[in-house]
Amino acid sequence: MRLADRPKLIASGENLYRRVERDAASHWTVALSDPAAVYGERITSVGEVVLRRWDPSRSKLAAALSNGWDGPVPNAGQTWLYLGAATGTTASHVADLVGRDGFVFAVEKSVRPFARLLALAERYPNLGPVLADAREPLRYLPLVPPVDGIYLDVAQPDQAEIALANARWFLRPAGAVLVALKTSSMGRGRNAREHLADAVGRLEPALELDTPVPLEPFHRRHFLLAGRPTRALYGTPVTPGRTSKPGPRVARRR
Amino acid sequence: MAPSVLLREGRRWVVVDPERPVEGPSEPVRAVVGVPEPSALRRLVQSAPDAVAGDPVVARALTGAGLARPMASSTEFTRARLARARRTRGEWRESLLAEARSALERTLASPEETVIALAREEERVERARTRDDGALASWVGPADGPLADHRVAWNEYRVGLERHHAELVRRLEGATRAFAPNLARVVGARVAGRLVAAAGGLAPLGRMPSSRLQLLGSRRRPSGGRGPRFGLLYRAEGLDRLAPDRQGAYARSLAALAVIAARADGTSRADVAAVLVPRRERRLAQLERRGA
Repeated sequence: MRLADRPKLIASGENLYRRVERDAASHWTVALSDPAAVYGERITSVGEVVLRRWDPSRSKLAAALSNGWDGPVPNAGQTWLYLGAATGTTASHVADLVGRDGFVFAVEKSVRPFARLLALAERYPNLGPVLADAREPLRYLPLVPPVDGIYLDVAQPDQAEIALANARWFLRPAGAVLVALKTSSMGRGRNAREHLADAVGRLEPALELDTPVPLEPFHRRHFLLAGRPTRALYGTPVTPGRTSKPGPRVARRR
Repeated sequence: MAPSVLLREGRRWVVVDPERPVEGPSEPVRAVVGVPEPSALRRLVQSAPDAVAGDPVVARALTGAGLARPMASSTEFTRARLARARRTRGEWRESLLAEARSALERTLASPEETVIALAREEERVERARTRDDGALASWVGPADGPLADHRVAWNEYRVGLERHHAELVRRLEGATRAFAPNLARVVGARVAGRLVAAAGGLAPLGRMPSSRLQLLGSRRRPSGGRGPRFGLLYRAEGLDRLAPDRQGAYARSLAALAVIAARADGTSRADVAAVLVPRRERRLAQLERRGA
């Protein structure tokens, strides 16, 4: 067997496996789809289970795990709301993690990536695609039930507000929020650390945050924020999240 | 006692009593399909006089029907939703997939997405043609034999591709003229379509400052030294009539006119091109004079 001389895959969660290679660790999820591969990732098997390699340079959640993050990973049987699913690269792994008894609601706004997400969902037993803007949770409120966790990966300047608006409407009081913070989408006026402090300040009263996890070297100027809701989250008035954006400037006369 | 809550659920509106979670199959307590008419809403609320609105959309609909109700507190809302979240995974999935398929279908069929899809496809086919022409320029082969036969077949293919491309351009221009008439007249229909595609829609295009529109589609980045003067606007109406050192000035003015056109197309749809096109021509004439 060729596999024999490789480092062993060790189960580190119900649907999550880990392999320690030299100095880095790789993560693998138990494939739910058939055929197993979704985006050309590596496939292997341990006994009966088929595993898909979770590439840390393509997925921020996997990068956090590779960097030793030990927070609220999606668990078997849970329901998750995934905001900014794009074509479903990471969403498919989250669906693997929650397994057949769990469910992932994947929200994506752009049409073209959504078409691919829909095609993926057609062959994934526990992935539900929603074509909507994560800024407007009221639009998909009738479609999505209360969830155990929210994962946000939207690369918008108002990421923190989007996370809170959704958490208010969808998160169970015992749930968790994960925010993949892309600071380079938050404006050029400040550096990554300042943006991070800003986002933490916005989330802080409503969520109880863990220490932010930097996602270097896989994703530059990215952080993973994990938090649990506090009473303040549900206490604040439930208004949809669109913050004011500068409108088109009126053309001046010469 | 907690009041019952009026919730939207898929395409149904239901009154949920959080004190009595529904057992077994998820039959709604009282349901209406689709967005309820005021009369249906009245019936729904009359059957539960103490019902509160589950979210702002519901509250607005109730107010609109003259049935204004207070909003549920977040505790009431969460309890009602938890009492109702009893559909099986399979049911959620089926309803979501059906909803997603129809939403995707609706969006892709919209004039805006049609223009974006056609513009991207036209750009791809044009690149294919350019590559082919380049390959032809460096082609060497004898006048007869299998290589010559290949050359004849290739030629047929190229003529076919050319026809296909011309047809595609015609479609794109037609779709753009219908969707963004002002922008199409100011910069030319084909460039207008490409601008919409590059911006990701007419709304994002209209929100841009003209300096951003001017550089849309350019490969080089604006930097300390001399930056790019135009991207997609390179092909715009009138640019080829100017000397190279006048083109930057023209692109600047044209971009300013183009955003006005895009904003009109996205909002009032008034015929601003009637004003903008003469202004473009005036500017063009002015630059031609100065260049000479």
